[in-house]
Amino acid sequence: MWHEVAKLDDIAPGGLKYVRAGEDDREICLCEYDGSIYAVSRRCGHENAPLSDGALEGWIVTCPLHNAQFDIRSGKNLSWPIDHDMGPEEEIPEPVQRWFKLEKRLQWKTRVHDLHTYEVRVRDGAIEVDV
Amino acid sequence: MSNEARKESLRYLFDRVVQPLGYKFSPDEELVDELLEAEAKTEQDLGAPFCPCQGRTGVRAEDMQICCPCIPFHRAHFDAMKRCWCGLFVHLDVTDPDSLPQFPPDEV
Repeated sequence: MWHEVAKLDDIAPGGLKYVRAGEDDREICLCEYDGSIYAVSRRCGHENAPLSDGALEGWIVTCPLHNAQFDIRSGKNLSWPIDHDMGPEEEIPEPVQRWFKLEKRLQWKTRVHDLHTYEVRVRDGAIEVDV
Repeated sequence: MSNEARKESLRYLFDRVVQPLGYKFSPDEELVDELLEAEAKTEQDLGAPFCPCQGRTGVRAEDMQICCPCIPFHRAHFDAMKRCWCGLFVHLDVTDPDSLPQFPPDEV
């Protein structure tokens, strides 16, 4: 079923926008690339972080949490999760280092899923998503 | 995720960085594929796509200067050779990468 989720003017060229649609209030990330609008699941296929807070470079969206990347056209996963560079290890307090190590170990046991993609159409300046 | 998908995305992202710097991928497709394969593997192992033909020193500030595409850090040297060290990138006007000379940085 088609749902109007935003106006075309609501999303900047190369921008991301968080919307909700459908009976189950699904979280969707709208992406503008090269004059077209794409819609993917807003939750990262790695650890559910909000992709709408990430970065869009052409057709590649990068998750703000562990930098996993996805193709907004197909939802396909394009990279492994990669930790943020926190600088030299000796400058990081020991308990924080222990946490990073634990997190890293768990991260590598977490499979990264492709994103769900949604059909999009634009009618009279309104963006509609098929949910 | 397949290695091919990662290589394709690295190619796309790198291209957006190197084009404004006056560089492009080498016309030698086989070489490009091999180097991107190595970088994808390095990124998976170490968290960053370090240059496949350089050794890391373990000093973070130095290692980040060989993170591909490392053109901005070694511009004078690369511009003189019209290519980067491993040959992944060449100047936009280069059609025959094999003809390009290679020399150490102190000869620039």
